Amino acid sequence: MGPMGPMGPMSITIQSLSKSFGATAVVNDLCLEIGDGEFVVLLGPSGCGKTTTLRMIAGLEAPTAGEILIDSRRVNDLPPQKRDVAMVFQSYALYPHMSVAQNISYPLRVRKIDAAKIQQQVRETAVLLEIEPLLTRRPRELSGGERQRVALARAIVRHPRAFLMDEPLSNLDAKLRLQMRGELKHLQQQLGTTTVYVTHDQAEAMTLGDRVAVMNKGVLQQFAPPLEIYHWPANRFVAEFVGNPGMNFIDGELVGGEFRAGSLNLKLRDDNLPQGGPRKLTLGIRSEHIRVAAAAHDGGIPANVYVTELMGSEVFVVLELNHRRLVARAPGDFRADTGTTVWLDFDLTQAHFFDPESGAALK
Amino acid sequence: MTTRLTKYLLVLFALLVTLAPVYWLVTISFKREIDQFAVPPKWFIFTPTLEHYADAFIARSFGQYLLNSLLVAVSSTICALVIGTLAAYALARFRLPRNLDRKLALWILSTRMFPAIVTAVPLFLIMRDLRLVNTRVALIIVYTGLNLPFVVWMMRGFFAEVPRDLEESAMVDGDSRMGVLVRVVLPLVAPGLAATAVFCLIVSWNEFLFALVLTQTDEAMTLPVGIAGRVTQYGIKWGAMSAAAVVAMVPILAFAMSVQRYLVRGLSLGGVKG
Repeated sequence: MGPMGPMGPMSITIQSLSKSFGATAVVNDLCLEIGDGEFVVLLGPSGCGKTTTLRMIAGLEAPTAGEILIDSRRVNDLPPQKRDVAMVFQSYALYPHMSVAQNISYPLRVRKIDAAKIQQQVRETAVLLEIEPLLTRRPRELSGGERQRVALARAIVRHPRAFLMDEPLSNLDAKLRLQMRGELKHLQQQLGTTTVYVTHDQAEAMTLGDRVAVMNKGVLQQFAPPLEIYHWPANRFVAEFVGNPGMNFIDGELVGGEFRAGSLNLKLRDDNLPQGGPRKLTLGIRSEHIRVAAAAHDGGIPANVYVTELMGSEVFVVLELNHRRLVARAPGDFRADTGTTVWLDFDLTQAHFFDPESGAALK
Repeated sequence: MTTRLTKYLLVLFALLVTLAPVYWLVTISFKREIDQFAVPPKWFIFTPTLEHYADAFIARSFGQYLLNSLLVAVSSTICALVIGTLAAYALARFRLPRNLDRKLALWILSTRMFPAIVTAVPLFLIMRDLRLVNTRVALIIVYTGLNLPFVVWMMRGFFAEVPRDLEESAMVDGDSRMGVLVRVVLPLVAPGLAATAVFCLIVSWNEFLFALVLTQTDEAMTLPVGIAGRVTQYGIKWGAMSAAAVVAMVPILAFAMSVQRYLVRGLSLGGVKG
């Protein structure tokens, strides 16, 4: 679908990239390899440097150190106009004094493409994004979702070799966001254009990315496909940030094949034991790997119900165990009153262990 | 009801105060000399005449002054807008080391802080050495300089309000910095530009001091100096002066009315964030 630019999609390589504003380091020694046609999501809390990274790829921000290579060519000194990437801003940045058609055609007009070709390309793009009826309107007459589509159309229309997207869905209401998320993924697969997508929403990252780069405080935490990030988090930060709810953590120590934390005693099988780790460590377990039962049973660990949150198809049970809060998932029909005692089973084959000092995952 | 009535009465009073001198000026320009200062004053009923207009624009050189004023005011306004807008954009968008951009802006403003008369003699000497005394070019240069600080500060405020995203988006879309300024930024600050233009035009149109110092010949003299020149040792030509003043008001009024739509938006826009 859709003719590619003359060169096809591009690969982007980021080598030891750093950016500081004054004394504050915003991005620190970042390395990423983004392949042709790949959809890479930069994920992290606000202030983690993901937007700055995107702006450096676009050429809107000059790196303090390191290299940005597009198709193995160094582009550090290339202005944004010459990088042949398109960017979708969080605010959409539609030109308010231009009609939708003028907005979409802007990148073509500044390239002095002939009028007939511009019109044809604008029409094709408008059809693709189902915004044909809006072409004569002004941005202020559009709803949030329509503006979003126009911003996408303006990015797509000139067949750039890469898309850079800065939280493009964050200004939409929840329902529309889910719908646009699906459409965006579909569109990117249709076009096959290399995409770098910035978000703080882990669900967006999981569903959209071929690979996800999790960042925190300017440092890359893990760069891997979504399921790998979910099932094998590189450290405690990733484990907590990815997944809803985040992973549960229990600090304790390892004594002769048993994990002990206060009154909690968990017997581990040899193949679940971390190799050569310290005695003190943090056990991490996802909510779906804690089974909750209302009745006492053999091996069940008693815990108090702090609150239950009904999600429809399932129930999040927030528990108190040794003054620590844990979240477990139970089937949708599970009910327990606050303050009552329930019994837990940990699926320890799915447990993770982290170094309590560095937070790094222990194998 | 009564509050509404009071409101209208107050508006009426304000209008009366503002418009009475204008009315007096306009009527004088149409009165015969004998009616001009009759006691009691002839407010509404008098024999109208066009003799003063003929005197001002046919017998004397007021037509030439009008042309000079138009040329000087329009040229200096255009110069000040072009130079000032470019400077303002740079000051609003680029950060210079050691806060130099802010210092530069303050320095530009500071040129408005000493009395104009201080510069009158130096300017005259400079213009004499440049052989520009008694030329319209001299006035265009001086008025451009006079208006620049105002243009820079007004436009800097308007530019600062344009979201950076728009410019960055346009640059990633492939446009040059200058293209972005012309195609994206300037259309968005058009109301501000209009308000600034009106102000510059009025300042240049009304300016008296430098015009008096720098131009003494009919070829270069502007209307304010020309009108004041009718105060002679033999008497004051009220009729001719009034006729010239009425004609002098027309271009500014016409221009202000034609850009009024932008003007209101522009001035209120600037009022929110300085």
